[in-house]
Amino acid sequence: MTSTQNSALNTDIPDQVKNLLQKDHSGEEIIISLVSDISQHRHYGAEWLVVTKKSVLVYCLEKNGDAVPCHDIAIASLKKARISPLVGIMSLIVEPKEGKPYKIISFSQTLNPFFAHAADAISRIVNSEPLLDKSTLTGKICKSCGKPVPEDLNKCPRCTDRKGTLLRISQFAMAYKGKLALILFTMAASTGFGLIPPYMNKLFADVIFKQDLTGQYPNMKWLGIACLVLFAAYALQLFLGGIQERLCGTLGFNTVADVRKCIYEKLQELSLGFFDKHQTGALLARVNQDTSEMQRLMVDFIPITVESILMFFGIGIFLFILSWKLTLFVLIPVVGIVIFVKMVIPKFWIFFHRFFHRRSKLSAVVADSLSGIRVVKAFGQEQMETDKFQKYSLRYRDAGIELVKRWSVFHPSFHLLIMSGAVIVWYVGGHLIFDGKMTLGDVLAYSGYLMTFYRPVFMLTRMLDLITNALSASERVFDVMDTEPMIREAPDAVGLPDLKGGIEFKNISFGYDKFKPVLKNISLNIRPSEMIGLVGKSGAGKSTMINVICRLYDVNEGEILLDGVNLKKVKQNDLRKNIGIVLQDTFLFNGTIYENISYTKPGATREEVIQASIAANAHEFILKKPDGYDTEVGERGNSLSGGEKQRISIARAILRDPKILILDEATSSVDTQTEKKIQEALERLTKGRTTIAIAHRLSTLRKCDRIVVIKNGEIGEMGTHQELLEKKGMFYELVQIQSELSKIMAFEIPATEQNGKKTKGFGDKPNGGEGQDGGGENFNV
Amino acid sequence: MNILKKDDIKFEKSPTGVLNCRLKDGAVHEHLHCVTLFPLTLPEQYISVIKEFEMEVEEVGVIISLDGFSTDQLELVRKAVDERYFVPEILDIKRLSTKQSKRGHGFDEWIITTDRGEKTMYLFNPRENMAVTNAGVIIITDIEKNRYKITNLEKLSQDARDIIEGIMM
Repeated sequence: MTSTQNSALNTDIPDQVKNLLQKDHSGEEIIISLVSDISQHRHYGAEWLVVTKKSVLVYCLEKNGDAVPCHDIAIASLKKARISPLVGIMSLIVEPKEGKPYKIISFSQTLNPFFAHAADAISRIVNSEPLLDKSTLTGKICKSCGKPVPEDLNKCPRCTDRKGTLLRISQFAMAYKGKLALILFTMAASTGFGLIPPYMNKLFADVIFKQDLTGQYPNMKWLGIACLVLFAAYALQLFLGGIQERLCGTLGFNTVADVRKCIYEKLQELSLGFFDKHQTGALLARVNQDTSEMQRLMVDFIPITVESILMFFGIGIFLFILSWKLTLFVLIPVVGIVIFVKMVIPKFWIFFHRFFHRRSKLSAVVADSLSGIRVVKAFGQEQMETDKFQKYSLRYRDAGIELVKRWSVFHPSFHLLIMSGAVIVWYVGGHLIFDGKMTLGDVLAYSGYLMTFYRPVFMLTRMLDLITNALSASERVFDVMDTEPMIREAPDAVGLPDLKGGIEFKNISFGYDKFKPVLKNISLNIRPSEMIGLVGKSGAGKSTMINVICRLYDVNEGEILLDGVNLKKVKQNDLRKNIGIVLQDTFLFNGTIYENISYTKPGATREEVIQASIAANAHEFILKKPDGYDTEVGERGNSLSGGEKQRISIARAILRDPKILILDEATSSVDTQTEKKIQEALERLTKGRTTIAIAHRLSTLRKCDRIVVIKNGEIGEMGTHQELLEKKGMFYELVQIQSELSKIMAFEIPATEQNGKKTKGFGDKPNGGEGQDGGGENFNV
Repeated sequence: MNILKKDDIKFEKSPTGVLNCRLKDGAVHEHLHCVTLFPLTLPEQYISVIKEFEMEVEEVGVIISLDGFSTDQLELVRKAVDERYFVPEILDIKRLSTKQSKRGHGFDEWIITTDRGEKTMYLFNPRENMAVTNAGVIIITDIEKNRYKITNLEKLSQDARDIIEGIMM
């Protein structure tokens, strides 16, 4: 028994398993040895998978801890191996040449990359194919700890060390070093002037109001000057405070604007996969609300904290100078405060967290309901939505009341603890006066300083809610910033200035979840200017093919070549420039028709936009609008009909003038008359371009050079429209089903209309323009 | 929907561990799986008995309730369901730490005790990876997409409750 050691795919095998291997499979080279983390008893525990060129072996542990062989399968008896993803658990399934597939070992998602590789290796050994390069796997293995890195993170959670939130915010502030220095200077100066008034108290008591033996006030003449000094100290402290406030405000706004820019840039950079997993509302909150909270942190909390810290040390020194003995007594409540801060305040985080969490939940409920208001009204569910809102509103209210109740106990107790310091000063200080070791002025000054000494703690507790919320918000902002985009431009990426439009799929496999492939080993060569029709059932993988061509996702295996260049090596900007898309669900931005058409070509002249609209058969309906090209399309283009939106989308693509055109069910959801106009526009658009069309209605694919039928992520059939009809295969079957359905619809619709019961769909608008949502003959193939 | 009652279906397990069944009409179905249609809210009701072929699924029928099924039949169904769902119940959270500080500036690392044993898991942005179902079950998904559940928060220790409540309640 020999072993090919590799850190990722060859984990250490315990001696007892080694002995069993030695006994039964002596001399066989170990290709893969892996340890699982879930046992056959469905508990966390280890089992071992060993793959040699001849056998697939699984060893389990018995209850007494002895290893026993659970499966000993001859490779020659297998057809292939695969991973079966279940809920919270995965299984390695082997498919024998004879008989049904069965599970041999289970493991958690954590170990998925390893076992997926093992399954692939088994299949390759069975088919005598070369094994995949292990580097395809080790790229996802953490170099520090050797464990797999979760697919979505691109970094190992076990070894990542992120900097503290406050430190990261301050790094943003470091861009304004000059201003920061000025703030520190004004703070220090303001603090310095803040130390004068308590000292003046001492001077007033001990010097100015001190009587001599005759009962006179010999220092009376200094009263006016002392008052002036006191006034000047207050005035300068407040003046500098004002400057500091202004500087801090500017710094806060500037810093947070930078953070906001950074997070927005990051969102633009992130791959589509990220947006699949995050709600738009939550991301909106990151950019707007959370950055605003950070602003409060910068403008309110940080300056006050820094000032308080300066005060704390400055006054601490004064207190020691005035009376070190008294200072030691004054520190007694500080011990209590520290214990309070360490033990009690953390309990309060929960109530603040709960309060803010419920507030954001309530916002999410409102956002969700209002964005789906059409559905709410259409189904008459206003009351249900109100009840739902009320439920969350009451939860928010309860969290607030609970917080206030607890706060009302906590806050006075905490303050009493702080104020006990002042009582100690008068008690101990009073005795020191009686002993002649301190003057009344000393105690007055001391008492004044003490209040300032405790201020930092006082301020921090008052700002507890602000700090909690702002820090949580900052963490959420940095969470997004720390996310790595799945798709990155290669450093050696090349431009495609003269793209001809040839696309080649070379054995590509892809799944949104890598272990659930949607496209399986697809190979297809599309010539420049060729028109390809993609046909298949819902979920077959048609739109996924479009997504990988546009490189919205990277393929897991194989490669896509554009004029012979690997898509991953093409500059993303060049790729996007050369691809035009017309989708079924057209998205229009809030703005005018003109702005929406010219979106794809910033700086396009009015003439170019009109030309594109004419070619897209959009010009005629735009003409009928009172505001023509300046017509506001409304939120998501809601003031236009489906057909109108579609033609604007085509005009957009024409203006873009791409080499590759993608039509994803571009003529669905429109009536036959509108479809005809769209078809005419599309014919003009597709001329001279490589076109890939996913068609809703099979009849629209007649003009395609080739039709590709996708079935379960694989190419099931390919040929011209005529060839496929003559072949009487899958395409023929789909056409048959569709024509049967059309006949039924043709029979049913007039009958329904005669009865005056024509049903209106959701998308129908009372005056929605010429293109009404059709639907009868739509059949999603 | 083909509703299966206790007398309509008889499950058997083959020597290789494959689940088969015989229906009342005599039809035999092999290589079956049991899928709960409401795994979070009604885990022991509405159990769909299916056959899987690559990406296609054929439903043999749906068991609406397990009431009246014999003990051995119940065990077979429960085991089949269990094969598919591995969502350990968190019984305690022993330790919570992050790489940098105590307040979530890194990935949260939890050492948890579950009904399936002890496990170390990592959470990224915990607030977004915890959800409460309408039935009040808390579902936690770690960064590796492993799932865990807390059916009754009250049964956890006070410290563990504080952790969960601090994050999500």
